[in-house]
Amino acid sequence: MANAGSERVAGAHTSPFAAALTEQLASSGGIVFIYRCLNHLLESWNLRGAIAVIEDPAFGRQVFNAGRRPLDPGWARNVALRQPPGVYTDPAVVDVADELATAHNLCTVAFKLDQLHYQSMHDALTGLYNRRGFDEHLTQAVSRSQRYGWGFSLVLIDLNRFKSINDRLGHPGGDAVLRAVGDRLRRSLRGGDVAGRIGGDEFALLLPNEGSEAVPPVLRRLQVEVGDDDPPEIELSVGVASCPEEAQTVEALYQLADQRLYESKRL
Amino acid sequence: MTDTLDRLDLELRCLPGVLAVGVADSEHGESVVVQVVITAEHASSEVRDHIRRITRAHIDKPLVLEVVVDGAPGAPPPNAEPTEA
Repeated sequence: MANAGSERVAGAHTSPFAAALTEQLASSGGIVFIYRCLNHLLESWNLRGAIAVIEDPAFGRQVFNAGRRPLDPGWARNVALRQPPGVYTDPAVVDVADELATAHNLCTVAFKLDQLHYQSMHDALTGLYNRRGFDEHLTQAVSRSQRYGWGFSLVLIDLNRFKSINDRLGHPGGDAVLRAVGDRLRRSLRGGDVAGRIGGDEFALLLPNEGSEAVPPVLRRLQVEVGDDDPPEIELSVGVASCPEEAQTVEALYQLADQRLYESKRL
Repeated sequence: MTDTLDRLDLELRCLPGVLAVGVADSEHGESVVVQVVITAEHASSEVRDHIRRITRAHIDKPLVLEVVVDGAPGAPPPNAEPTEA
């Protein structure tokens, strides 16, 4: 026989509101879900505001304001900074407290999943994809190429003499250079392009609908800003392989691009 | 645009001490205002620089970055520091 607690939880999850939220969590997940959940609250009860405050030992306190609105001084900022975890509405809706608790639990789950997924796929230093995240995109691109004939280029990038930069600036300075290069790469890409840091000073780009000549000139030489009076000029070695013209598998693309990268290093 | 904002939102929240992220168009729509609320103990110049870099990397339009520092218990109310990014 189920205890009172489990009956209450089961009951909450079968309410139309909770069912709608659970369906949205399954379809969108993460931050997208949290903002949809808060919008759902606003629309359901014609409220002025809704804020989720969630907390977890792993990710600390996180506050989400409906509509991703900035927190204005007053009710919103007070709730955000001073109230314990929960979902808060303006005005407070007392008779749906159980549903707000359900929304809060789902928001917590959503953010935890989102952050875990993000961390598993991204490089903490640059915010670009890590090797795992980049390879996932690359594998999908190869599949699309095989199925639909959509071409793309894999670009491998290596920073020349990065060790000497590390020696000159120290590891914090080296990290700053890597972050700056990551920022520059990200900003030079178009929508649909993918960038990753796949090793210590190795970066990779996936450029849909581009051939081997696709490397943007800006990538050949980067002057990065690292808060130094004499900022280092970063020279890059680049190797490009295009799919499906030159290689048709992930392994073959890496091999060809890598070979060309080392050829360009020797020049 | 939403995908970009979702990524920006999540990436900023992965920084230590970031409590909240808000985004709005400026009054006349000529720029984007990004608000980041961060705890006082984590509001170092390095983290602020990181916030600026991440935001700049995601937002192409003119940008106003507002860093709101939440003071430690007993400290004065949070102060906002708008900066042109």
